[in-house]
Amino acid sequence: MLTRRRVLNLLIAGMNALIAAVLAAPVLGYILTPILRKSGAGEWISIGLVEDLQGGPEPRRVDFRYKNDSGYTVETVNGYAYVVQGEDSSPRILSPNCTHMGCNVAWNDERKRFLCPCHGGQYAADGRNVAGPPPRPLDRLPSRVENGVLMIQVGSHT
Amino acid sequence: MAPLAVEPTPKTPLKRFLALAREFLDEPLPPRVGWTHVFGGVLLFLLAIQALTGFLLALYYSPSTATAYESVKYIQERAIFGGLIRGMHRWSANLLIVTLGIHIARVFIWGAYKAPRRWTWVSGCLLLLIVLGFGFTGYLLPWDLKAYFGTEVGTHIAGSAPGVGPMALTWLRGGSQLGQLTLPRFYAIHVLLLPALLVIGVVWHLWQIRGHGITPPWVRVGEERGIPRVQPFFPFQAARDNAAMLAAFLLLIALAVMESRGYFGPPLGEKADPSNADYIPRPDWYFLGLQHLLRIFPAGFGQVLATTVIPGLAVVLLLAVPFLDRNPERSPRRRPVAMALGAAVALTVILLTLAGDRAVRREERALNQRLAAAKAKAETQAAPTESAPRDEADLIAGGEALFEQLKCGLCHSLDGPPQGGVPTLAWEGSRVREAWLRVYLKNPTRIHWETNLKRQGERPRLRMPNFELSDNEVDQLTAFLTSKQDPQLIPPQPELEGSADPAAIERGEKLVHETHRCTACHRIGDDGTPFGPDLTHIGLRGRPDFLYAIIHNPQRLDSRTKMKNLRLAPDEVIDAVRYLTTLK
Repeated sequence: MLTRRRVLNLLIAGMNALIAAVLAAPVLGYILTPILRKSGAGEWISIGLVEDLQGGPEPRRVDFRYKNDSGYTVETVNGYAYVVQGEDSSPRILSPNCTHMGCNVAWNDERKRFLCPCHGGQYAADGRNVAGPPPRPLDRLPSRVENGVLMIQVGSHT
Repeated sequence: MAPLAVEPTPKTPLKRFLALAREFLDEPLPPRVGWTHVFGGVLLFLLAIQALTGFLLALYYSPSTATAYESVKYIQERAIFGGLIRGMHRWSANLLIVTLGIHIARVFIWGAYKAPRRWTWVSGCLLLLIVLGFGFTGYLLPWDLKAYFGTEVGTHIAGSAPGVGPMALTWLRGGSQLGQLTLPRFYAIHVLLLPALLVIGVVWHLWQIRGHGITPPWVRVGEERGIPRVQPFFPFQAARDNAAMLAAFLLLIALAVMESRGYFGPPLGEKADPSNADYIPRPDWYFLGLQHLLRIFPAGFGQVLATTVIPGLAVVLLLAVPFLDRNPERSPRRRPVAMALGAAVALTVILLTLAGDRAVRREERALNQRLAAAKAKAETQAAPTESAPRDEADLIAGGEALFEQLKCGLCHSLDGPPQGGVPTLAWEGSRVREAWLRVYLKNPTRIHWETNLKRQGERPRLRMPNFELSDNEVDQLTAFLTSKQDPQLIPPQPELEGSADPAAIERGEKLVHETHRCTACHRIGDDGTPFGPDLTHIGLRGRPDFLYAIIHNPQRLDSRTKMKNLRLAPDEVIDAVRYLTTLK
């Protein structure tokens, strides 16, 4: 009696293991689709004429709309960034996402710093992290100048 | 059995739970319980598969008319193993219905619904209704033609009940018609309400099964007491149940793989389109019988019989089986009347389903023949009219008379500027291409459907009705409207004649999409917002001269238009128009 019981126990374990094994690959692949599938770079959009955006030591906020491709819908999203003067007089585009936890930073005209509302991170006008928890300077967005028009690359393509 | 208190009550909650689970699994079974008793276990297993695959589908599914179909397409085509997961959900649902039928038949034949297990039967029947509810609500979610028209008919059946019907119809749909308000409602019922009811029902059902034990085969009601319990459920019956689950699982995987490879036709049909008149609604197969009742009974009270009285009575009778059947015998041989009635009911359901299927197939065949005939007729008729042109002036005069008769002037002006977003027809012949106008007049709603559905309020709410014009009437109106030209306002652009140089098209594309971002207000394919007119097929619709004029100076054509004057140089306008005319 005991051995029959044991054989059946093993059989049950085996059958369920088989079901789980057959299910595992599709379920894992399906759940991990966002990680396993490559997502493309975002689109290049124009944010204005270089001569309008440059000049002056202070960062200038630019607002724009860009497209985010989720795979089955393309949504138009509002975004903004800061244009600052780079060392070689070419414009540099700073992402407003704090490098600590990703909150949106804003330029404070009185204190001449980017301030993060969440945990007190502070950045200098050129994006260097100068106070608080941020581990690195503000990220730069890919940018280029084409026929006097400043273009940046934002969003992602799934 | 062992006396009480041999095992002390376990101390920790986990141990208490394990002891309870063991006690549940150790259920002692009477003799002659075996392979015939595996179907309940298979049902539980399939429900678990439904819960798992349903959760997975919900990860990517989005219940709105604008995204439901697209998200299911995404699951089907782009999510890794998405087609397989979706196929499993669908086929597991089908297997559930079949297994439910077998399970009910088994319980009926074994007389297991009799006292003391009457409420086990009732709870099982309620579970059946819940599962059918899942089928009904889930059918709509992919939002393809099949889903749309199947649910159109299904909700109408509910709506034809006397008295409360119209209210039920509006409630089910969330509004007067199937659409944006229906999808989230069906989704919420499918993934929140019904699963909760299902869990309650399953727990109740299992609780009763465990409480009363499995019916000892063929023992008369009231004589169960002395029957020995020969073996525990685990692992003896559990192994049989498990083997049946494995078989069902392998069958399911095979069906899902076949489904995702298109053996049963395309896994996802065309997107729902309420204006499609060439589609025969087909409910899921287990509702075919119910739908067929509508064909059997005549209009009027017969329809009420078919949609309300008969299904309602069937449910009540099913629930009442244990209370109506007072015969204490369980052996089928001593229950000839019950057996005969049961067989008659089963046969009726099967025959109705088969008849429903045949009827739908017949309707589909007839439709295909009609479509083929219409196509052939159109082809043979097209040739002679071209070879024998009618008098142009007659056509124009006929069109003008029709314009009056149909009261087109109620919305459209024939001399002034556009009003309230409705195009003026003062220079329609300069504005649109003749070929497009012909198609549009024939079926206006179809072309505007997308835009109107997506952004009501931003585009005019009124839309061009379908006047069901005959071919001759379309010719007349087209001739009349094409004659309305204004070469002063929209001068011909000789530079736009002839074929374009590809570089010009490329420059134009850049102007439209990048430099001036026309898609900020216009839609082009999947791109842009439908604030202004949709430019996706502008090459089919707009005449190049008109496109030139409106881009060059929009306010000249309509002083109140919100279109920006981009102040383009003439050769830039030419490039942009060259590009736009490629959008077909």
